[in-house]
Amino acid sequence: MSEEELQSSESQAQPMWRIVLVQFLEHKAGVVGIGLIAALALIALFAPVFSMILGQEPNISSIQNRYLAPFEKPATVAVDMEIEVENFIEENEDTLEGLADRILKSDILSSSEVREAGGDPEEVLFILMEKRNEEGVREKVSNNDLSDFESVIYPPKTAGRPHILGTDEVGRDILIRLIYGTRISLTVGLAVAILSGLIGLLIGSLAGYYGGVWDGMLMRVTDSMLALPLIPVLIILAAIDFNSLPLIGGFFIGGSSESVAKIIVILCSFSWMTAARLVRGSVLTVRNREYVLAAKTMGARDFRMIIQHITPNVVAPLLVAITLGVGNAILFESALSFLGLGIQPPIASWGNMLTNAQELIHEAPLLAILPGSLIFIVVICFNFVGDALQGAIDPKSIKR
Amino acid sequence: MGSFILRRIFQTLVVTFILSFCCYYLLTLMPGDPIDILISSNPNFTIEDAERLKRLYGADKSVMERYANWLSSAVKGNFGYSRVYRVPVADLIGPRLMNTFILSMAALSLSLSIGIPIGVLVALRKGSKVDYSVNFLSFAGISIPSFFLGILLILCFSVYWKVFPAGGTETIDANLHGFAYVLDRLKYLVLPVLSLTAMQTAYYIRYTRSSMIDTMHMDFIKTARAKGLRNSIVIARHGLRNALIPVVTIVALSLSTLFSGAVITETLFSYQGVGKLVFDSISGNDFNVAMVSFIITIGMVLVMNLAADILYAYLDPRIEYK
Repeated sequence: MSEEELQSSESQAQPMWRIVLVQFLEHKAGVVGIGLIAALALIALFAPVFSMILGQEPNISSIQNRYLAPFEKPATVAVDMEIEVENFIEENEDTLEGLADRILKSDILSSSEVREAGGDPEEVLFILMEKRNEEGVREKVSNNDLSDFESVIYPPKTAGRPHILGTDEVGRDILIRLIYGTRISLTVGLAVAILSGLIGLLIGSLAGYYGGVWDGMLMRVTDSMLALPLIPVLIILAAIDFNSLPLIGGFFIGGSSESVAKIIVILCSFSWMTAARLVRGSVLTVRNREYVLAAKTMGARDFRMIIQHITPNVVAPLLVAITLGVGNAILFESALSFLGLGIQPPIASWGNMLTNAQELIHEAPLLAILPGSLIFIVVICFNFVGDALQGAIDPKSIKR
Repeated sequence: MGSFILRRIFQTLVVTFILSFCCYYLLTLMPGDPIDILISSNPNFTIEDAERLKRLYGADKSVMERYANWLSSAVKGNFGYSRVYRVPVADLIGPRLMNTFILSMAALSLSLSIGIPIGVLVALRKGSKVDYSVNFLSFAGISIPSFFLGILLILCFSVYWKVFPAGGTETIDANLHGFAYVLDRLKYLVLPVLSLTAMQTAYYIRYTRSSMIDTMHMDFIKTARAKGLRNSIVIARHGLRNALIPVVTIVALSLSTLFSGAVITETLFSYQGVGKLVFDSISGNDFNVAMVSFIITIGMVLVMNLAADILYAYLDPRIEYK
């Protein structure tokens, strides 16, 4: 930069966000981190699209295709088809007679086969299943409007697609489970970090603004909670049945995502303390500034004081704390899920994908390495972004 | 100072007491009543028997009454029996506590002896390539989940190169004595200690580095240099000694993370310590054991925090205590 340029950039005041952005971009690891996080977030957002493209579902298991190596084609076994037809019969008991009638009228089956079936609709379906690969049968089936049964005996080609990263111990596709796991892990991480940031903001600003007894009480609680060994506490909380808790028990109505909501609540209630202390510290430094006193003299209410005059001063450090909190939340979620107390199967999360990986380390080392590496990468990305933000926001480190 | 210590001790006791009640209450909410489990394992029990048993064990009383009963017998040193191991809880906890203590201390001393020298070194070469790569590595150490690191270690050192056992505390039925016994225990300690050490070391490097950098910018360092002291003396006697004050408190506080991490590490490596006991007893509905092991874990952490506060007050007389 030449002398003139330097002078002109000095004379022009730059907006805060511009300074922060320029500083942030200088932290290479932080930039790479935010890029990776954005990519993963996009993948998580479009998980169903990936599921369609790959032709795989996260929770479909197949006993014949356990521990497939990456790119290995799954085996299609006749037993599979029989089970499928049986399932179809069970599901469509009331319309079965009509379907069998249509098949009988459609001359797909020869008269000897019809006699063999003896009018039993289930038997008719099984005979058709066995005949499905004979010449011309497929056309006749599709010509005769048997579409619901057709999809059973001629499963869509996607079911035989190769598993790009192989399959796990019950034959589920690893890649699509990792993609859906990204959803869960990022959701839990972001939700916990943002919610606990808000709780911290509330408690920290109450303690810092009102001071005195409030401050003493709230900070005593904060310090005591900060001193607890987190994992044992989280294990106990994760092991209890939330429905039997008074007050909040009513909000926990079963369902498949119950364990996700539970883990968010548990992690939130033990990760707001850092934010609270940070906010309190920032509030204490601005509480007696002139502009705050001026606002007070003009008769501003407490609520307005906190929201409009004090909160903007703590946003920057809080943002850093939230960013770093995401990484921590993901770590704790995966640790709990790893121990079997967090996200419950069949929902895929990186942590619970690792649960069985330890016992299977001889058969399928990849099963352990992939989800673990993803946790590691995401957490380190959030830590780098947090570090970069901290450097960018901290006025001491601003160089220009 | 004296009143400060007394007040902190009192505070620690109160917190432990409150937590023990919270824990007792939460454990009653766990699915699976001990008596229901007992009954379901034996079809010959009648409903009357169940009622009688519940009355006998006091399970029909309110939580408060049960907690009061538990507390009064716990104070006398009677922690009840373990449902799973069928021995008094006190007998179970002793050796487990020792194992956890060995594991934590080994991890702590290893991470201190690696972390502090490296931290000082990179602080003195701030901005160099070494600094950047150590910084990157310490970020990695903080970000890697301990259980994943543990799995990787098992994969490397027990599956691929069969150097160390994948889990356990000592070779069962080996009947070793003296040096051979110590060696055997050490063999089982290596992997758990390594997986616990990674994160701790990373923290120590970061703390020592930033504390050392701050200290080296202080005026008294300039004075020392102006006096013409040798560089090594400036660093060791003036820089390091002051830089280590905040690190000391971190050491005491990090025992909390060590105990936390020990739960996962011990479970992963099936190392017979208190951490594994916490996990096993909670997943196995072993009420008495869960209660005691949890309180011991919490109690030790709180005592360490207390020690950190007192130590800090002693080391840094600039801090005022009201």
